[in-house]
Amino acid sequence: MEALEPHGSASAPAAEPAAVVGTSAESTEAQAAAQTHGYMCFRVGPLGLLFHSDAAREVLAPPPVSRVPHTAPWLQGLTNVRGELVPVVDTAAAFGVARDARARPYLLIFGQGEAAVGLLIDGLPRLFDPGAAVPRPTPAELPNLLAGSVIGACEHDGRTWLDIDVDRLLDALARHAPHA
Amino acid sequence: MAVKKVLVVDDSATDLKNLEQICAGAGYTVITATSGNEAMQKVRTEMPDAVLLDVIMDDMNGFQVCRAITSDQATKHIPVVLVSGKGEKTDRIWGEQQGARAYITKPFTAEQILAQLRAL
Repeated sequence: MEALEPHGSASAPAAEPAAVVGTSAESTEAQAAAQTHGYMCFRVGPLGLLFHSDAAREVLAPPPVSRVPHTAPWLQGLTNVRGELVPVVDTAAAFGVARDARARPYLLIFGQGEAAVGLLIDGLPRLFDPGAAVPRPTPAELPNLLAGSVIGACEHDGRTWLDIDVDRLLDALARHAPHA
Repeated sequence: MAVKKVLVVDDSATDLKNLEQICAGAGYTVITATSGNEAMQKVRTEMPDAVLLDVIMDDMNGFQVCRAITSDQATKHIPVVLVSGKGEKTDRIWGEQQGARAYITKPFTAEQILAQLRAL
């Protein structure tokens, strides 16, 4: 699958997506991987999603949100990120899956300014080495709001990861967010 | 690699001046930028030995600038130190995942900045 080909030079396959940094050795490994590969991954309930790391802006602990009337139930509302209003999407609800209650939720923010959108995800995003993944056919059944954004799939450590076009996903969410 | 030329990036004039004075006072050649886009331009044209990079900026934030520097073949060797008022553990983790060599939380001391530059 072309979309998942490694960028730049190959590195040693990782059994897991590079661990969240905690020690200096892990930190060095994470930095090296970050500089070699352009992919990160995150989980939403049973779904594993990949995205090109350039797309993401930052990660926050879930901030307070203000509900917006006449919007889809999965649009939790708006939050104020340093003076910028950012829509917060309950991603699990949008995709019709149950979130992983054992994982700590985080808000992953894509886009800038008025185009910024925050997706609630399960656990922190991690680096992903596409060189250690096996390409797989895209699953036939996908959540409606996600289906048009999936551009490939692969398997890594027993889990299927869906490669998503973030722009398409955000477009789909924006089109379906108004809900009178 | 001994750092000689440092690019300082901050959209706060106060913080920018402070960092510039700290670095220049220690003998570093200092160039400055006040936005993410300007930082990217100066990284490519000036090829600094290190970048001290604010996180919260209006156009590209520091995480995005850091990612752009560390993923570009021409600039990936340049170490980036994030200097930010965002002090959550999540921010440090995210910064390191974007390729930052270190993360210094504001308010910082001159010694913190200089020790980090010496350690690069």
